[in-house]
Amino acid sequence: MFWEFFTFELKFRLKSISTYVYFFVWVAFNFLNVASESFGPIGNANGKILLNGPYANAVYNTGVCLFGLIIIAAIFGTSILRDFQRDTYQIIFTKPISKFAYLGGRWAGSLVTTVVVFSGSMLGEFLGTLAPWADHSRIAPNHLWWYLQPFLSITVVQIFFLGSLFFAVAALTRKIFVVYVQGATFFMVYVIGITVFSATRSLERFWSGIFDPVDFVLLDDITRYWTVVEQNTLLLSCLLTLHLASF
Amino acid sequence: MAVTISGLSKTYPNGVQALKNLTLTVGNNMFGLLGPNGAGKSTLMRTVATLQDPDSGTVHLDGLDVVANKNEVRKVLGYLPQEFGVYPKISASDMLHHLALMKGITSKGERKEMVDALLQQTNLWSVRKKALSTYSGGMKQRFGIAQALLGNPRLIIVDEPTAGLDPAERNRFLNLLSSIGRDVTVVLSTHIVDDVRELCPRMAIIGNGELLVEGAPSDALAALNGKIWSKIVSTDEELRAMDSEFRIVSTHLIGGKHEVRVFEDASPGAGFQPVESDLEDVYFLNLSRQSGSQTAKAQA
Repeated sequence: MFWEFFTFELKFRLKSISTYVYFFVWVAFNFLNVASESFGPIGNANGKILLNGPYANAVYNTGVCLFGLIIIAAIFGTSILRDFQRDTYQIIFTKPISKFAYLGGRWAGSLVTTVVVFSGSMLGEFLGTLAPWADHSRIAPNHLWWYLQPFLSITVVQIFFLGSLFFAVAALTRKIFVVYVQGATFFMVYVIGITVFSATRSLERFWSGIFDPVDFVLLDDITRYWTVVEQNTLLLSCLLTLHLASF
Repeated sequence: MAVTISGLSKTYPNGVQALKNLTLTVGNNMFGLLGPNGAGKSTLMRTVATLQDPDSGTVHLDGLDVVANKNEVRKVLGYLPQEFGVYPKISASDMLHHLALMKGITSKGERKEMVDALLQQTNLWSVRKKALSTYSGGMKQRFGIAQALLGNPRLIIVDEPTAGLDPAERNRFLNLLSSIGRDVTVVLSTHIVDDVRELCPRMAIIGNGELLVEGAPSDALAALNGKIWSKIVSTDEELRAMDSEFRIVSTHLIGGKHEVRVFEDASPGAGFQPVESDLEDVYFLNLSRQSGSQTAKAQA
């Protein structure tokens, strides 16, 4: 029965337009990050850092996670609230289903959907490297692992934890409003917090990195004194993964 | 399968007392539950269908405690809610397969056979691949009964299934219901008296969360035999005058005039014709008796 809920969730998402819109958002986001010099943080910054290098990818993935909060909330939250929003709960809840199959199937289906949707960022980045007008002196030959490693160690981990959080909040409150407010609040508080923090030009780097749930500060802490060569060749270890997991 | 309801009470957080110490036994065959809107029918149906718990009282299904054994009950239950929605872009066939799996029909062949048979039975075969969200009210209601029949349930609860259907769709739906009613228990809750008259060998009337009548419609009709009188009056003044004088069961408009039906042991006077009692008289009489006794209680 778990399998049925899981596959039905995927089937449902496959038929839903929003899934394709989200996917396209990430394709466009990372396409522009690479293909446009005035869009992304790397394109704007030091002119020697590779646009599709390891450091760039770590930054892109962190950005995707921050802006993707709402999308994660939208996919996970609605999956568990669908039966209340669509008024189908009376039909579903009078069937002999187990909590595990129902909740687990919906959760797993949402997780897979979200990961697939967010993988659009990798496609977008790849397409960006093909753009004829892009700065090809800053684009290295594409390495699959340079794409996958940051995606798996940052984005997928964030989807797993934030998604589960939104899912749990939705299941407990049964209100989609709360889920979105929570996502938006998280986003706002973080953006305000990090803006205020950088405005202080604080030299304190340790605790701010530890308590950064999105890891922008931590990423900066680690790579702050990396040389350009290091930024273009070294993949970040699983430190970020462990750190995100600790939240 | 017998449903035994005893001492059921339910008060909602907003203070509405939906059920007041209700006791009722439903046996095999089609059982009609009649009552006006807000009588507590849906609360009763939802409680038996394991969707909500009562404040006090018990519901047993052949000795099985419904509140404590929800999943056991759900295996033998078919429930058509009063109002329900559907997922967008999902076809009737896909949704029935999805629900059949929930019902525990894991064998693919068996499931396909059952879903196909139900789609035929409910006359949805030709539209089985269309999205449920595009269905008309009658089609959606027939889908509702198809999903309630999944897994050969022994207790079927249908909550106000004919409300909002046009006469043709209503007939089709009632025929469908009567074809399944023979070997299982079907509880039909409705505010439409004709639904019960046409289908149910046994019935109950509830009003304000209390049981008013229980029994066979024919018995209830026999009790009123020769005691219903009808008179046609043309003005509202006459109507009001009669209201204070007689025990009025109901008034209908016929071609702009009022047909007044009165309940009296003997002829109430000139102009009154004896008429055959119908189930609607039983219904209205019991509801007005209840409100009458409540007014009396309030005045005492």
